[in-house]
Amino acid sequence: MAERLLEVEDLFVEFSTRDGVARAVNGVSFTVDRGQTVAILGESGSGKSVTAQAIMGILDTPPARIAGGSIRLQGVELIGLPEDEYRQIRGRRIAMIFQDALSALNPVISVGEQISEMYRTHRGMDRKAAKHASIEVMERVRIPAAAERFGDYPHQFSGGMRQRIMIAMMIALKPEILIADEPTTALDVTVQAQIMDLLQMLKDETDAGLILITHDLGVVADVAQRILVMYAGRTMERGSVDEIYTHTANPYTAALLQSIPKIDQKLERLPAIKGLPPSLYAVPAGCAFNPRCPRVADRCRTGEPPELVEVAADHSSRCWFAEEVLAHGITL
Amino acid sequence: MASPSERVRVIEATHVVKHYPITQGIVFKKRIGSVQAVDDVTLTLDKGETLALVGESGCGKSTTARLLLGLEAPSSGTIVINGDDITQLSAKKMRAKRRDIQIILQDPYTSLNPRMTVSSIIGEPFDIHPEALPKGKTQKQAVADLMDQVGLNPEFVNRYPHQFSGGQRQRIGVARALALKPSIIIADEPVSALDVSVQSQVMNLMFDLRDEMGLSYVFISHDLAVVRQIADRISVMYLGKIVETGPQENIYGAPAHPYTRALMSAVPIPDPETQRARTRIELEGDVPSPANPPSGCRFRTRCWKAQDVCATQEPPLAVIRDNQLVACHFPEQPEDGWEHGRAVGGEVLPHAPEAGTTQQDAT
Amino acid sequence: MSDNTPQAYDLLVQDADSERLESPESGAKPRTLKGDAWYDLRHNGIFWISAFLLVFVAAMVLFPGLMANADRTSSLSGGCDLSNSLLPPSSEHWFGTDQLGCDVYSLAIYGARPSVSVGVIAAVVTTIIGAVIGLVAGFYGGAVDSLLSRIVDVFFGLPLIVVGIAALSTISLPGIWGVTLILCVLGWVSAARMVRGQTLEAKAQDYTTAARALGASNTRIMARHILPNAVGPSIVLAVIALGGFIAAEATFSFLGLGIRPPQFSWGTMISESQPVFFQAPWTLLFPAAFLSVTVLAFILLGDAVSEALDPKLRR
Repeated sequence: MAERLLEVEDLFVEFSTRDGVARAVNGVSFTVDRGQTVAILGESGSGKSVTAQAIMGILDTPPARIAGGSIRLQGVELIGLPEDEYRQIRGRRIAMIFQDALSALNPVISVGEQISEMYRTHRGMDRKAAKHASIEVMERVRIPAAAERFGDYPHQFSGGMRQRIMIAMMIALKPEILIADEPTTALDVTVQAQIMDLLQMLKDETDAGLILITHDLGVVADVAQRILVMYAGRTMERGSVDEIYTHTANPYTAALLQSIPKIDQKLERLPAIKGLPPSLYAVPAGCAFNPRCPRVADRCRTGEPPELVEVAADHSSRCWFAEEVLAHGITL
Repeated sequence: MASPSERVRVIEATHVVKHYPITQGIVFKKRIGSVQAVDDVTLTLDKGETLALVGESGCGKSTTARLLLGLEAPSSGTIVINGDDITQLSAKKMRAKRRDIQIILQDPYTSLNPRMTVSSIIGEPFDIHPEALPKGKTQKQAVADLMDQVGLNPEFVNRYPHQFSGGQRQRIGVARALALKPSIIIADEPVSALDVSVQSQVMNLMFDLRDEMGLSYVFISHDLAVVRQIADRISVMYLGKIVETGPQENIYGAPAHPYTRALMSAVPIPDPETQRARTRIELEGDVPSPANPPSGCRFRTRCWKAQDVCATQEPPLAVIRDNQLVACHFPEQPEDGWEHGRAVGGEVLPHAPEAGTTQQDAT
Repeated sequence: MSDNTPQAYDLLVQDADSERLESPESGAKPRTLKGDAWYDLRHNGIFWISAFLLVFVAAMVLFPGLMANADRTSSLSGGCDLSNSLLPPSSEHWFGTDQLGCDVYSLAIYGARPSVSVGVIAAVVTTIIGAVIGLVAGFYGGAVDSLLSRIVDVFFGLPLIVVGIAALSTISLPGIWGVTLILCVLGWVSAARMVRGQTLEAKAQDYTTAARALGASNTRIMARHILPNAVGPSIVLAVIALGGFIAAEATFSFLGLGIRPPQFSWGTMISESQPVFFQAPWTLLFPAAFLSVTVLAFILLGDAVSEALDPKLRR
């Protein structure tokens, strides 16, 4: 493939606040192909949401600042694009849904109107045509009795339904890239399953690329083909989901996989990762994970952090002992 | 776990009902309906045991927690804590009773008063119940001991909550709950709001405290993977009713209620191969409103097995096998394609769009 | 892995040491909510402008003698010479003189005290009354809240100035006390509504639930948990209301209903300048300017404090 659908290369995003300069995204690279689901997995402070916002171009520019790197949509550079051009891309070619649908939707405008807005603004449709198209897309996301509910307001819907409305707005213009930032975190688990299936189905229908931002290892295993594990703004591991879950080459990923409670296992005591994710204003020297790492050695604590190295085909890990972890795993 | 003859019952809640009236009018209020948050719930807890209350939003588990703590009075029913029916206690006696049962809350960001230092927060129980202060120790020492016990550095005693991370704040909440040396702790989603890498730490803390202090837990959660690690018995709630209850092995090994199965099969397993091999049961639609629950069996509008009798007769909570009770006219049998925590191969369960959409109540 | 158990806690205790609790540049000093608010205030230009102005206002109120001569304000003490009536500003009389020959500059300085005192007393008293009513209404809810809220609504509907005029015309309380009383009686409504809202919010917070679960009495919950968290916006409101009360006093005095001669305030000065405005505009302009600037300073301060406190309340 000559050019990928989306290419993020060496992205750096900094936040300048009174507490100092935080490198929220510290040299992150990945690609997304058509029809592919790429998961960005991380905890608080990992930089996963900031990465998504940088792609959408919706970072609050002070205090945030894209300090370097490149984001290319089918070869076209997005960083530095003037706002009016970015507006053509946002919604039309790249679209995003967020964790909390209630605060993302305007409470005083009916949901139908909000969806119609997409059609009227970007496609220049008139009221009637836009309404027709909106009802159609509401049906696509399986909102029952879509025509009757066109005029309802966001608060009249349940959490799962509101998320569907957000998804309807997201896919209305058939964008090439879908970004879902923690789309199911605030939802019940049975609703979560519905929403994830819906996202997959819609992505397949249009052969779009889906970037899924989450902290849930289970959801990633369910829907993603590729995964990017982030910690304190850096990529810790990157590659195919199948490969990484079964043969992880990074102590952080391995530790996460071991420490999370699993429904098909009961343990007397859970393996736990000690310590806490670091503050981005005081990232440890050397490897960011070193205070907590079960495999830590002296070289991890000082000097430059390890580079991201390829340990197998399409499988990279940022660790001095990546090969060892790949071969023998780690014990928590 | 204690043998049957040694078991001491610490909680006995019988036929507890909590309805919230829905009123209309500003000055003179007229009752036009009620939200049936908790509808005839019976549960028990023995000393040293952990009972999990599992369910999704609107199922009534948090309301049940508030009722057990005496924060609200039930509309009817009795709640006996360590031998006393708290629905009958005077305010003064209730205050003393509070020392027996404490709570750990979900959100580490709102469960601590932002304007109080850690020492005030953990010390407050002693301010309210001075008699609870351990003999020979000052409040300062008692607070430091508690901080040690939960894994916090006692040096940070004069700091404010916003200076700590989520996991640390949760530990502060735990320390506060332990101060009065309660015998029962109600944990309302204690790890749901924490980072993944911190959840296991706090779970381990809860295990240790249970062993050290002989605590009994009511563990409320929607996360079945977490629940499995700590619970001895599980009660599954749906729309204010308990639909299934039983020992952990039975519930995970052979869940009998369709909702329990659906709930479990919805929990993703972090192993791509296993996940792909699973059969997913997908429920259509959303949970009906607790102000207007379906007649008969409340789950029937989303159940793929629903028949006419489910609409006319509410299934009673009945024993299906030793110690496991289920409220269903057509409970699932162990042989129906199940393997510890997940539905597998065999019978592929349908999406049941008919059951979901046509009988759907207004959301 | 049972071996890890005791170690895990030790390491956590150590990790709690290394965990960021201070910001890197400031070294050991931890950030407090008050500290953050002060930092924001310090860096807000508006704060400094209003602070600067208010320093002068405070000086006028507390130490008028340092800035002006009391004798020059009253004919009784012989400082006002009728023959000097309505002189324009000069080096002798910086702001000119009024009809009685009194020095407008001295009058303006000494006029600060009654105006600002009324404002301060009214602001403090109305905030206290409003806070108590708002707290009780919000905390107890139910019938108590319904009753109190209806009372609040009634008072809210009363236009302060109009009712004040009516009241001051009928009661015969001496000048400055009459005005203060009326302002206190009518002006507590905004504070009450605000505190009630904040109380409802604080009541719903988890930490209040936790306190109840500990067996805390209502008094303790109100005093330790609700009030401290409800008080922030009330302070802002009080500062802004202060400005408003000063303006209200000026209005009443202007209409002859508040402070009466031989006492004087900016309001009375403005009132008395009416007949001679065209001949001697300085008799109006200076007291009016002092009044406006003082009210503005309080409002700006309120704004600045509001901005400084607001994001911290979100934490």
